[in-house]
Amino acid sequence: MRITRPIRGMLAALSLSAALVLATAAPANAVITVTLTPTAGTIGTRVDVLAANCDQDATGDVEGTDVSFKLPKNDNHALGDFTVTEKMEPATYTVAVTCGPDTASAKFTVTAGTGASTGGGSTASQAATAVLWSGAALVVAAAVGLWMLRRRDGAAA
Amino acid sequence: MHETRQPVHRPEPAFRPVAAVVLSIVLAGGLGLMLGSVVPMPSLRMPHFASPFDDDPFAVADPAGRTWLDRSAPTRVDIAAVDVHAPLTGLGLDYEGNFEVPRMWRPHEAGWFEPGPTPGEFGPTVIMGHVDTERSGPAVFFPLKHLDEGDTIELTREDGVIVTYEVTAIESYAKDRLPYEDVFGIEPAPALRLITCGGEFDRESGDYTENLVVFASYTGHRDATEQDRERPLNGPAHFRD
Repeated sequence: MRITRPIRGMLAALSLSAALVLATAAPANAVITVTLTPTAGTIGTRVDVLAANCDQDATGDVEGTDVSFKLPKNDNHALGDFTVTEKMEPATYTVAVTCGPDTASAKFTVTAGTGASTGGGSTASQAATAVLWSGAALVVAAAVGLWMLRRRDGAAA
Repeated sequence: MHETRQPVHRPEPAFRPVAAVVLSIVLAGGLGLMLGSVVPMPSLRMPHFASPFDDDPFAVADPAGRTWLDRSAPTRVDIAAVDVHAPLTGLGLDYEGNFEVPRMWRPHEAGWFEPGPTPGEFGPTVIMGHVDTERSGPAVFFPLKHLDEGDTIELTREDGVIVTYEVTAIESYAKDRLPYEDVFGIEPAPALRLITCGGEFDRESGDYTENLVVFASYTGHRDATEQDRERPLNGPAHFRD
C-alpha cells in the first residue's frame, strides 16, 4: 500500500497533465483559416471575415490599402467585416488576419461590378424581330380571312 | 317525317359570324404581338426580403466545422446530363476590372475564377463559359439552360480528386445587377456556380443582357478512377458546325 500510493498518485498526475496537454494542444494545433463572404464584389460591398480557430480578438488588413478592421472574439472564432472603399481599384487583394502570433489570409476580388461577357451572339436570334414578323403574319392572315368573308357576303347578297 | 321531328341543322348562317369573331381575335392578337415587340418590356424587380442571417452570414456556416479539402485547381468539368465535358482554364479580371472569360476562339473551353476557392475548399467555386462565340455557334455552356435541379456536376482537381455537386437553382440576372452576395457568398458547404450568358443579345454593345447562373452545392468527393481519367473531353471539333 505504501509503495503503490505514490505510484498511483504519480500515475494520476501524469494522466492529468497528459489530458491538460492534449486539451490545450488541440486548439493550438488547429490551423487558423480565414473565410470571406462574398469572395468578390464591387465598391460599397460589405465583406464578412471569419477567422476560424482564432480564440482571441484579432485584427485584419487588406494588403496594399489603408483598410484595416477588428475581428472581436466570437466563441472560438474571430469575426469582423470591412467595406470595399472607393480607393480600391478592381484587382485581387489579400486579406490578412493577425491572431496573436499567427497570421492567415484569404483573397478578395474587387470588380467593376458587372456580369461576365460569356457570349458572342452567334446563336442569338433577334427575338423581337421574330415576334414582330409573326404578329404581322397573323394580322395579314386575319385581314385576308375577313376580306374573304365580306366578299362572300356581297356575292350572296 | 323523320326530318320534321329533328330540329333543323343549319350550319351555314352561323359560320360567317363565328369566323368573323375568330379572325378578329386573331387580328387583335397579331396587332398585340407587333405592338409588344416594338414597345420595350418593363423590367420587374422582385422585392428583396432580408435574410435573418444577414448580420452574421457565418451563423449557418462553419468553415472549420468539417474537414474540407485543401486547395487544388480544377482541371475539367463534367455534366453528364447535358453532355458537357470541358477543360478548364484559369480566369481573373481583365484590364477594365471585369471578369475575364475564356478566349472566343476556344469555344470548347470553360474557365474557373482563380482568386476564389477551389472545388471542395470552403466557399463558392465559380466557373464561367461561353453560351456561344462570334463564329462557332453554340459553345461550351450552351446546354446549361437545359439543366434541371438535382442534376450532378463533377469537377476534377489537379490532385485527382473528383468533387461532385448537385444543382440547386438556375437563375437569370441582368448583367448590371448580378447579385454578388448570392453568387460569391458562402453556403453551409462548399458551393459551385456556373455562369454563362442569357437573355437577349444587344447588337450595339455586342453582348448578352443577362447572366444565367447555375447554383450547385457540394454532395461529396472521391478519387478519380481509371474510368474517370479515360473520359474524353469535348474538343473544338465538337463545336464546329
